[in-house]
Amino acid sequence: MRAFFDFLKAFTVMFARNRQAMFWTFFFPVLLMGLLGVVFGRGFGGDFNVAIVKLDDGMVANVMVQAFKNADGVHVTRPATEAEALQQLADGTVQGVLVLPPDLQRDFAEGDGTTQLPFHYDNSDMATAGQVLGVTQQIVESVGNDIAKVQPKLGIQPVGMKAQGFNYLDFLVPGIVALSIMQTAIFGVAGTIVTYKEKGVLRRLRATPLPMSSFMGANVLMRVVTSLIQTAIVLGVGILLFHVQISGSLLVIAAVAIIGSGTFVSLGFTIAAVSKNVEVAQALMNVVQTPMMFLSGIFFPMTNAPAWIQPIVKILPLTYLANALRAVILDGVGLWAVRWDLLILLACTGVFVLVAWRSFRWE
Amino acid sequence: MSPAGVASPGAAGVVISLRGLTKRYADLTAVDGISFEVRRGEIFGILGPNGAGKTTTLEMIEGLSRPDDGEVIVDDLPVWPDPTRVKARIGVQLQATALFDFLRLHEIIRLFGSCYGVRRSTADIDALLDRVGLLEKRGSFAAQLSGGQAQRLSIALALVNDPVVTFLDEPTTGLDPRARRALWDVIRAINEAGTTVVLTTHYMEEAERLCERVAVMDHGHVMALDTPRALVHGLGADAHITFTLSAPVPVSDLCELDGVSTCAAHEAEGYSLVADDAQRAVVSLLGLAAQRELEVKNLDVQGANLEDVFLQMTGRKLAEEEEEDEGGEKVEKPRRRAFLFGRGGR
Repeated sequence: MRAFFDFLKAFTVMFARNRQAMFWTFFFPVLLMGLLGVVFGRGFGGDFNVAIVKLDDGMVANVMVQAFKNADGVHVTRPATEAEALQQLADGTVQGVLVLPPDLQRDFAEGDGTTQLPFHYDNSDMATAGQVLGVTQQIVESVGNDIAKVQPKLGIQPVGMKAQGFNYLDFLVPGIVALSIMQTAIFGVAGTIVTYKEKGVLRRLRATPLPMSSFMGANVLMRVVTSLIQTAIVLGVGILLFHVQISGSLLVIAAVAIIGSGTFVSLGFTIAAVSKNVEVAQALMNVVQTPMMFLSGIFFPMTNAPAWIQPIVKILPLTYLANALRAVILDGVGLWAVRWDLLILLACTGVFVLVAWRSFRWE
Repeated sequence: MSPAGVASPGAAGVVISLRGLTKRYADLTAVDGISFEVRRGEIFGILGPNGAGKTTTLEMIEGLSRPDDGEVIVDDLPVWPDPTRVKARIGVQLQATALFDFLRLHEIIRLFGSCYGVRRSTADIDALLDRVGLLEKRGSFAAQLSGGQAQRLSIALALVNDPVVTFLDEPTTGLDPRARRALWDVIRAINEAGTTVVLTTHYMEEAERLCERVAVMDHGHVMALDTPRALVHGLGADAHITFTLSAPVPVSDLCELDGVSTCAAHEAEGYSLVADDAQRAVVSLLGLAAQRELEVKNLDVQGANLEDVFLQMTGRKLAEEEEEDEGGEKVEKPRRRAFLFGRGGR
C-alpha cells in the first residue's frame, strides 16, 4: 500500500513537472471553450432581436412598433402570426416575442388599470433573458406613459420558454468538460503505459516484487483526480467568464465525471494493451478520439445531423458522458435521471477492462 | 529447502542452480536444457554472441520469463511458479531500460526502493549513488545522463534492495572503452562488498578481465564453463601469430613448422598461425624466413583468448560489432516523437 502512495506521489510530481501535459490538461480546455464561446456564443450586452406580432391597427400599436424600431440595440421583425413568431423564438432567431393583442386600442382607452402585453422570451440563458426583459419593459412602459400621461398604463406580462435554439455556452461548457475527461484519461493512461512498455520501464518494474496493480492503480487514481480538477476549472471559468448557470449538485457532477473518467481510463488501457509501440498507440488514440470529439455532440448538438450519422453517434461512449453531464450541470437533475447514460458508460468500462485484461502484454 | 536432486557438492556455496532449463518460442528453442551453478560471492559471466540465449536465461532466473522445462533455484528458493520471493532478493539491471522522465535520480532510487518495500533515508540514497559514482548527479533527471551514467544508475537500482545476487545484462554494450572500464571498476567494487554478480556480455575482454568463471553460450547451449584461464588453456593454443612476408610461400610449408597447429594465408602476403607453443613457432618461422631469404614484417604474437575459445567451439567469431563500438560515443536510439498532444509518456 505504501508503494501505491509512493507511485501516486511520483506520478503527480512527474505530471506537475511536465509543462506540456499541464498546458493540455488545464489550459487548453479553457482556451478552447473561450475561443468557441467568443466565436459562436450569443453575445450578451449586445443587440437582440424582437418579433412584434401586431394584431391591432390602433394608434398605440403603431407607436409601440415605432418605439421599438427607434430603440438602440433592438432589431424588430414583424411575423404575421403569433405562431410564426414563437417558432422564430424557438429557433433562436429572436430573443423575445411581443404580442399586441387585437383590442389593444380599446383596452388602453377604456381600461382602468395597466394593460399587460404578453411577452414571450427565451429563459434558457438568464443573463440574456434579464437584459431582453429589462429593455422591453422599459420601452413598453415609456410608450404607455408618453401616450397616456398617466402612470402606469402599459406593462408586459413575461412568458418564459426554453428555446430549442440553445444558448451556445450553456451547451458548450459541459461538452468541454466531457471532452477533457476523455482526453486526460486516454492520453494519460495509454500514453504513459505504452511509453513505459516501449522503454522497458514496465519490464524493469516487473523484475521487482511490486504487484503491478499498485503501479496501475496509482496511475488510474491520479488521472481520475486530474479529471475532477479539470472539471472544476472548466466549470469555474464557465461561471465566471461566460455566466453559465450551474444548477446541478457538485457531488452529482463529480460522480458523473468519475464514472466517465473510469470509462475512458479503461479505454486507455485497451489501447495500451493492443499497441506494440508508441506510434501504434498514437494512431489508435487519434482513431478513437477524433470521431468522439466531433460526433458526440461536444461542440454542436447532433440532433440535427443527418440520419445516417445517428447510429455512429449512438455507439460513441462520449455521447453518453456529454448527455449525462449536460443534464446534471444545466438541468440540475439527479443521478437517477441519467441512469441509462451512466449504465451505458459502466457497461463500456466493463467491456474495455475485459479486452485490456485479455490482450495485455508486458513487453 | 532445496528440492531433491538439485543439491550438489558444496551446495552451501551455491547461490544459483539451473537444471535442464529450457525456453521454446514458436520456431526456435532459445535455451535448450542448460544446467550450471553460480557460486556465492563470485562474478559469473555468460559469454556469447547476440541470440545465444543469454538474456532469455537471465530472464528465467530473474522471474521475468517462465521456463518451459527445468528448474532454477536462487538462494535456496525455487524461482517458479511464483517468483515474487526471489524477486525481492535479487537485483536486476535490464538491457536498455530507460527510466521515468521528470523524476530526479534520488527520487527514482527512492521509488524503486519502495517497489521492494525498502524505505531508504536520504543518506542511504546518497551512499548508493556514491557507490556508482553518481552522487553529484543526484538532482539530475535520468534523461540528462550520458550512456555510461545511465548504466550506472541502472546498476544502482539493481542494488537498491541489498540483493544477494545482482544480474547485469550486457552492462557495457554501447559504451565507449573508457566508460566501459569505469563500469568494470564499479562492478568489481559491488562484488567486493559481498554481492554475487551474474553478467552477460559479448565482449571477450570483459569476461576475461572481470569474471571469475565464464559460461560460453551459443544457440541455447552452454558450450563450456570454467575460469577464463582454464578455458584458454584447454584450447591447446598458446598464441596467435600474424605477419606478412616479402614474397609468397605455400601455406602448407607454414603448417609444417614446429609448434604450429593451424595456419592460414590472407591477401597481400599476410599469414596467420595458431601456435600450441609460441616460442618454438616463432623460432621456426624466423628460421624458415632466413633459409629462403624472406623478410618477415608486421610480426605480431598475441596470447590466445576467449575469442579463440569461442572460435574453436563454434567456428564463428564472437562479436562482429566490437570494432564499431570502439572509440565511439554511446550508441543511442533516436528519441521518439512527442505525442500529438504532447502528453504521452508522462
